[in-house]
Amino acid sequence: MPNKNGSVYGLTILSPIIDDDRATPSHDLQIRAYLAQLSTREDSPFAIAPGTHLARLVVMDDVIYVGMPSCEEHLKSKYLVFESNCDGELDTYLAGLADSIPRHLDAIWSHCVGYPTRGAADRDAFIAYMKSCQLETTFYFAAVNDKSVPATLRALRIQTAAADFVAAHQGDDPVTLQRDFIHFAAQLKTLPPPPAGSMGPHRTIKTGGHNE
Amino acid sequence: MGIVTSRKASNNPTVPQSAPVLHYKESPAIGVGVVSIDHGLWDNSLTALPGSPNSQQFVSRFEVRGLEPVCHSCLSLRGPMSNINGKVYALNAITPMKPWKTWILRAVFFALGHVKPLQNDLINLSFIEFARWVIVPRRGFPCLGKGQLPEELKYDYLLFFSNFNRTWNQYIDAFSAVLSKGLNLVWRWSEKFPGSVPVTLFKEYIARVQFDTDYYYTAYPHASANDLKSAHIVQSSFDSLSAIATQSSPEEFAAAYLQFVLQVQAHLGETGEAPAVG
Repeated sequence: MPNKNGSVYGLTILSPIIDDDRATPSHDLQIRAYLAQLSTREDSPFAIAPGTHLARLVVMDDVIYVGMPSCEEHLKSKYLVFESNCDGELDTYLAGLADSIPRHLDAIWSHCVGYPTRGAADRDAFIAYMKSCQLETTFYFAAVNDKSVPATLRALRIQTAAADFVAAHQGDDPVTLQRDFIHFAAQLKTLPPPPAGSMGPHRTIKTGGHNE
Repeated sequence: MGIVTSRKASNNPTVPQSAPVLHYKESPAIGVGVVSIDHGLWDNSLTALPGSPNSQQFVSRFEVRGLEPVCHSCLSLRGPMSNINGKVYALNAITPMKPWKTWILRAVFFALGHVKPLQNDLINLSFIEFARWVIVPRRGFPCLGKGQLPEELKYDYLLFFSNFNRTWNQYIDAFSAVLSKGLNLVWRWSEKFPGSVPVTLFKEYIARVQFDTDYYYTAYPHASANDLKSAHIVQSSFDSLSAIATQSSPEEFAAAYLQFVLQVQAHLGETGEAPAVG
């Protein structure tokens, strides 16, 4: 199924934007203005709702003319492109969005043709609407395709913590090493999942390497 | 109405190289900024927007409405650029294809999806987190009625969305150098595609068919694709060591810990903010 790669779902949605000469500013501009003030960090709607690895929203004004001898043509509608790389099944993901961030969904998609009158509060109508705008992905690539968002955030936390632990326990005797490791592993287990969308803990150690 | 890019404009010998005067004006009614250009032409030296809240926000695509060009990407003056979030760059591109050619491309993608060794180069380009191609048939744009007119297009369209690390130039360079045959196989069916080598024309083509992102979110902005792979390796080894930590003697644990360090030592690189790129 081209929309999936392993356990990751590649969702592509094109929602036609309302073309209304009387609207000031135009609906596409209202979407852009709303998106421009939306957080991309821990308080992002997609960090609050479960299951989004990466997502983008784009107002597509028109198709692009590449020059002669191809034909110049134009779209009759502008489209809101929603591209999401998310965990699990589509219905579960969309239901999670509708339950967690209905206000944001309504603020964005209420400028699109056919959006349910009651908005995301009508969860079934919202899911049906999003599916009616969905395009099937022809080819989908994911570098890591078998890990959920919480699992990935946990792995990143362990990676950082393990590096600090290894650096701090060089040359320790076996008894100290084992005792401290058991305590360290137990502490890590009790920590809540790191927040999605955050830049992670601030670290002053600069190790260089391939990320620099 | 036309869409042009600064790269294209700067390569045009007919374009005067004198720097036009930019004016930035914020519209309180809609909370966005509009750029006007006094004499309407520009070149690559215009990489900053004087007087704007963030001088890094100047971008290359303009829609010319009469004599008043509107800079689309200035509509999204947030903190970071909307094409970039942390270590990830969002690339969107759309190219027209003659409808009969899309069936060939579908066959190419089918082969790519089912013959895993064909994906090796894509996997080895280890700075791509997610990428997708979507073929939109000319009558395949969603039409929901309710006043929306159906599209009447001659071409099918190929949409490409990529989430990659590092810079646009590094990405396109690497694509061209490592995946040139694969890219040609995918994009040669698109109108006016010049081939992925030499890279100059390829970059011009991608710049022409690219459109900007308005909002971009990632759950882990501080991590690159390699960071993610490394983190999962560390986490797997860490969980294995944790499982035996309480059941082994100190000497057995010390030996297992040494093995753990040997396994993960190449995967403990620091994550964090991406270095600034000029």
